[in-house]
Amino acid sequence: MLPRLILRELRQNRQQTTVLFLCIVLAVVGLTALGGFQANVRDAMLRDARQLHAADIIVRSSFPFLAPMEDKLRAYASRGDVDVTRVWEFYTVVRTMDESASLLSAVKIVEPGYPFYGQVQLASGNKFQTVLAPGEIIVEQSLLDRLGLEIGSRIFLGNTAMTIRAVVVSEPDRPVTVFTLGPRIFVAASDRGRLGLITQGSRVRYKALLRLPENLSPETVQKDLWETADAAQERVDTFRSADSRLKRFFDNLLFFLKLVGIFTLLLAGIGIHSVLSALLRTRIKSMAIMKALGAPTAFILRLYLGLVLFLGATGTIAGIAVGLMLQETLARLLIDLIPAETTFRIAWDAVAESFLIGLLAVTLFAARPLLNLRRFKPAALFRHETASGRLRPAEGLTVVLTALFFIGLVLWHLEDLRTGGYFVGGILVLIAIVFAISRFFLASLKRLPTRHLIVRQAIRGLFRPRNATQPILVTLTASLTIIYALFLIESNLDRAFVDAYPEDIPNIFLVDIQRHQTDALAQMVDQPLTFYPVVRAKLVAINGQAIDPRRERRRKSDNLARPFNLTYRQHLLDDEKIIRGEALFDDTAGKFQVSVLERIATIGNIRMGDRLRFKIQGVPLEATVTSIRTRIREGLQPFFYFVFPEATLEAAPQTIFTAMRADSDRLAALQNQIVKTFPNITILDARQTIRQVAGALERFSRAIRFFTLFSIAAGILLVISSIVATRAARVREAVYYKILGARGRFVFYVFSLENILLGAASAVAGLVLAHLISWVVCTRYFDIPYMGYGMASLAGLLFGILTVLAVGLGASRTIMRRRPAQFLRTHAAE
Amino acid sequence: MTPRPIIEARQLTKSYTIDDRRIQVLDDVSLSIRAGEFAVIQGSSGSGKSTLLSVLSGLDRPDSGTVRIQSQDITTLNEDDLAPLRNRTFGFVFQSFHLVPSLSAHENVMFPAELNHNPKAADEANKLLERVGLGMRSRNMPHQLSGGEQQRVAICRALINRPAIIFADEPTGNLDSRSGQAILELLLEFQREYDTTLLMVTHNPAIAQQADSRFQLADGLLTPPMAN
Repeated sequence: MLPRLILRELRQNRQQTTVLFLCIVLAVVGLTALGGFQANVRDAMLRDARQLHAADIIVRSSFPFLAPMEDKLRAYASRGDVDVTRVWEFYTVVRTMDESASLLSAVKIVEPGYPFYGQVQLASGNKFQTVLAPGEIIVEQSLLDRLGLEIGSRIFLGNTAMTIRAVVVSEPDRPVTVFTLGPRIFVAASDRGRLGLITQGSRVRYKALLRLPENLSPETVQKDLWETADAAQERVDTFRSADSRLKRFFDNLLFFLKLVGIFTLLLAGIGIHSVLSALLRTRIKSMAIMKALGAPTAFILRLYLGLVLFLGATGTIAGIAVGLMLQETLARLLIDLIPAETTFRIAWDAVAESFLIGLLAVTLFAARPLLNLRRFKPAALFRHETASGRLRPAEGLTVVLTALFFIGLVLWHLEDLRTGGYFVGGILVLIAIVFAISRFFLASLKRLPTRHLIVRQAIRGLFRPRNATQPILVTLTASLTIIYALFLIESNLDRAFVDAYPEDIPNIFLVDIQRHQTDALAQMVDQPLTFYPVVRAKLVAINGQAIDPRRERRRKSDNLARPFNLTYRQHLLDDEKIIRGEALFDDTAGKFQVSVLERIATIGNIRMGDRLRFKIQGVPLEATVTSIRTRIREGLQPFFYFVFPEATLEAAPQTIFTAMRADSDRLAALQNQIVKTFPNITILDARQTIRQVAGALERFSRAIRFFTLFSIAAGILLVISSIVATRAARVREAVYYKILGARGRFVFYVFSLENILLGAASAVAGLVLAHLISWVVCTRYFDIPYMGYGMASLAGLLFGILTVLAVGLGASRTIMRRRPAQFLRTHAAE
Repeated sequence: MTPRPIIEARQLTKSYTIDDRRIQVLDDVSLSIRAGEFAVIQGSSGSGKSTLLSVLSGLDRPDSGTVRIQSQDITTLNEDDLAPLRNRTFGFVFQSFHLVPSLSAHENVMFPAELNHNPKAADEANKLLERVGLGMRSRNMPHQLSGGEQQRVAICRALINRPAIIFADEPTGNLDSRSGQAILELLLEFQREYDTTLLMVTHNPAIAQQADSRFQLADGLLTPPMAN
């Protein structure tokens, strides 16, 4: 009997159950797509993790390894059963033999044995190890294309002519190429010395790769090497623990997408709650009749619980199916950014997780309306009763469980207690503010004296019995706030990015200049250059408290564990000003003092008088903070987080850096000239970097916008659900208006204005809150100036209002066409 | 001189199809009602009384036949053309009251007058409510009123534009006999005072006895009018 009744309920309430079904689908679709996508990308990265890192153990540093590490590595190499090979990676500019063209390239110098796992694939199909010989190089096809060369051609690498022997197609430990600044060049380690490209202070990534025998656990060796390593600059990973740049990139991207996904789930959950409540309210009479005929409350509970579980299961399955399809859409949006070998299969653990989340969300969000069923009495047949809004203990428990579920979900997916806390807290504060605003708005509207009939009827419509206008207003405003805020933050980030690159800024950066080369370089480029000395160092402690590299690397913004470029000078730059302290340095404080830029001071909570300990190639240096600076202009002008007095760093191992502007038609010739004369200097072409970063940002934006669509869909479903919930009341009103002599136009105006009021209130409040949130995020978190985007905000406002109007009128269309007699016949008994 | 007919129906037919079954509700119905008359349509449940009232008042369209109100054929009019007629010429009183739930008693009563752009709508609504003894309850919402009170509000609403015809569909059907009698007396009082035509559907013989003319509807067929 129960299944038959459930099917009948489904048929009789087709509109409401359809909206309920769609809410459930929407609740799981986003997280399924993201979960599946994440699982597949991680699988691709972990499937052959050894190959992705080309070794069992990877030791890295931005400086030459320190003596204890060198000794340890030699000891392992001499064991016989452990293989050790070295890799050096850096950028340099190569030139054609006739000096007509040059190109920034990513050089990788490798010792024999590299790679221990995986293959460096050559276009010829030959073996990498046998092809790479002294005096010869292996290059990417794009280098040949861009320089107009072919296999067998010779090019200058530094000042050494090398012969191109083969073309590399792929290498195991560089699966993604989008963030590289130039094509790959493989060089044999035996050529390292004669190239002369690695000089003191050069920006080189030093790596040692280890292959272990079966009986030696990577974790044991990792632990052993960690004991020797200088944690400030040397890092030891196994192929399992290595946190690749690719993984960090995806973790950051998925972090933002999951915030949107969880927000959509919350909106859809509220939708489930409101549609089910509305559906049950329309069934009060049926339930009262059933109770009057002797049906126990448990029977009615089972009936509607069955209905919810049926819709929950089918909706979750449908949501998972759509989510699985969407994971490929997401892959298409992020094409070039994901590992090429990623194959999209069904990630069953992600599916199981989504199914569980879907059913839990449905059960929890549906619990309160279902528990409310116990309050209905057969007396509802005879009189209209309004259930008291007081929360009973069981209902209170469901509210608490729902909140816990939501908080748990946030923490589980974001894997970061602090950010998760901010997110949950932020959402709760947002909902509380929106609740207060909507309450104030509705109370004011109710008291508004208006003589205009259409305006009055529209306002009265908002207070129609069972209309649930306030919950709708709260959810609509909250969703519009998030949607607007995402747009505003994204636009401000885009603009900050564009503003950072005006036409007249330097377009070439020259790094790794040696001190004796500065005068000759200035003469060659024939323009005044500002030279900035650069000392590579690591910050190891603040006030004696050691920097924890693992914790630092989890930060979404800049972190304190990376190598820093220190400089020394006695003056402020044109675009700097002191915000703490009297001057850059305190004349009475001795030579061990440092001026800190505000941004890094905020990140590291560094204050005046703090003692910062650095390590410069293993040598410790401790200095006291005597001033904090800020930049008065954002842009691509060079800036330094830490500035020391000249006397402190003058003698430290250093290189020199400068920035300049060259006309694009002169750029290639100048580049060739510099590289020919000063082979150790690396020239970075800023335009190409900007293009690459802009391209990656655009893909990021596309993916985020795509997922924001789900939030918009959830908001639209909420509007539809409110209209479905009050459909009977609206039909009744439309019929009464007509009977009393109103034209169709009048009904249309009243319903339109009602939706416009709802849309305008939500959109205006949402926009104001979004501006507030975006302003805080931009100025406090991203540290960029904030712009309001007046016209775009106005367009967003209209979009919000028109969407609510279109959805509202679309759903009311049939209501307006009904003839009065049809309604009177069916409702004669009421 | 015999008053001119205000409602004239000729050969009305109306049928419904329910589950492939065709039900003839009105079968060649013709009638004529004079202005200022109190006429009653009687019949058992399902005989088509309410359908006939809907067709005569333009709330529904007949399958064939014509309805003339003050000599104007309303069967060809669309919904918007019917609107001024419903607003100014007709007043409706239903068994289920059909008050707009989101409007107070006072707002319900003045609504048709406001649609008619009557600047004194609020005052006139107040006067009417005072007259039916609901002056103190004019700010109450419909669900806060008893059945008899709701029906009195509905009568005020039907009368505010001083219509030529009041269509009443079993106006006492949902009320106890005492309230029902009071409502009937109120309707007749207003009918006489405003010189309005009152066409009422009822199956209560006691009410029918008080009518100027009675029509009997059975199986879609109308018997000739009987004068009291």
